[in-house]
Amino acid sequence: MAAFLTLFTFLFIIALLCLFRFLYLASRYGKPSPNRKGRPCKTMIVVGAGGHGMEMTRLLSSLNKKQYKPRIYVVAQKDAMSRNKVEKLESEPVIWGIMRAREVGQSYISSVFTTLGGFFHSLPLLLQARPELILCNGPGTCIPVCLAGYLFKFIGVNSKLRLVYVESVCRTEKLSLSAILLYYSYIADDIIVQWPQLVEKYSRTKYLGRLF
Amino acid sequence: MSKKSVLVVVGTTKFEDLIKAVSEKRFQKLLFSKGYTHLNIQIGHGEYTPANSESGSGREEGLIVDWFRFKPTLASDMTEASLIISHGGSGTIFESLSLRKALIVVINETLMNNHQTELASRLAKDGHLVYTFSKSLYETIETLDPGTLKPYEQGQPSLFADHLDKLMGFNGDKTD
Repeated sequence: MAAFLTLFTFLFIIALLCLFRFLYLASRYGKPSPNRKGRPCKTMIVVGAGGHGMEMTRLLSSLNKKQYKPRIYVVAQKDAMSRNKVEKLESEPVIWGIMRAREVGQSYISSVFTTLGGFFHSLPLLLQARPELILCNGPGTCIPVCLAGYLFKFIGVNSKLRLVYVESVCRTEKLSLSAILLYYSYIADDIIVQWPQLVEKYSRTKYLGRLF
Repeated sequence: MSKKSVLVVVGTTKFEDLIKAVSEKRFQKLLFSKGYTHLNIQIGHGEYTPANSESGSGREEGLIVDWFRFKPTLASDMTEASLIISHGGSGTIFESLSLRKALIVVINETLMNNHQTELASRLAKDGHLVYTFSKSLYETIETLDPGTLKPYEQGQPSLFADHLDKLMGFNGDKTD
């Protein structure tokens, strides 16, 4: 009985600590990081297939490359087109391939397993890279990367990480599944949308004006 | 007669219904009667090929029809076109709008849960483009008055950069 109580207390304290940690991280949603006095920011960029990659390319074009470096790109394995896009952007890019979370038309149940696979695949990459910023804009490929990044942030291995998600311009009425997951879980530090009516539905998202 | 061309874009997939619709003689006659002289078709992975000539080009009622599968970039084809008929891909949509081209987006009904419809219908509501389906493309062209489409004011990706700089603690002190 005593052993059971000790175990219970122990688990209770762990759960409580996790809760406080979660609430603390969630309280930083959308809040700026401390002034970095120009120190560059190690950035991981998840480049998705098709239109997502096109949008990411546009977004990156506006960033000051001297601030956001070094840059590590993550693409889905077998996604040669996204890889190509990155190779056009950078002269000597660092590109990592991870398992794709969901093929078009794949069921949501089986995508849970592929996402888990991608998550375990991402863990060593994220542990090694420890980026200060993960920039992503869907589709599902970015979810395992974000989960792995958030885990290391949560346990304090990479506390400084900020996770920014930019919703696709194609989403005018409803957030995508990826954005919804990152929004309600407070895993993302900021979610940018490209149509003002989305902010009315999801109050923590931000509309910055027309980006495209 | 000066060159006035229509460009059809299907992107990286295939869109058989659209290619068939623009290959119809009736449709090509309509384009010619509307003053278009060239029809340039990008067919992607489609199995159906527009004209039966081997070179990939043919003549129909004075309209010169050309087709190709892919090109590294469609920029010059788009610049040259007076009218662009496109699938719902956001890349093609924004490229066409930024070039101030009259744009008809044809929804690919064979793609399920096609969230690209959202973008096309939103931009159509705002009057920047017209969107339709393969089977009603003829009627759309028949009634289209390109002059009524509103120019699209291009957005600035730098708004995002400014926001990200603030979030990441680059408080306005540019390091370049």
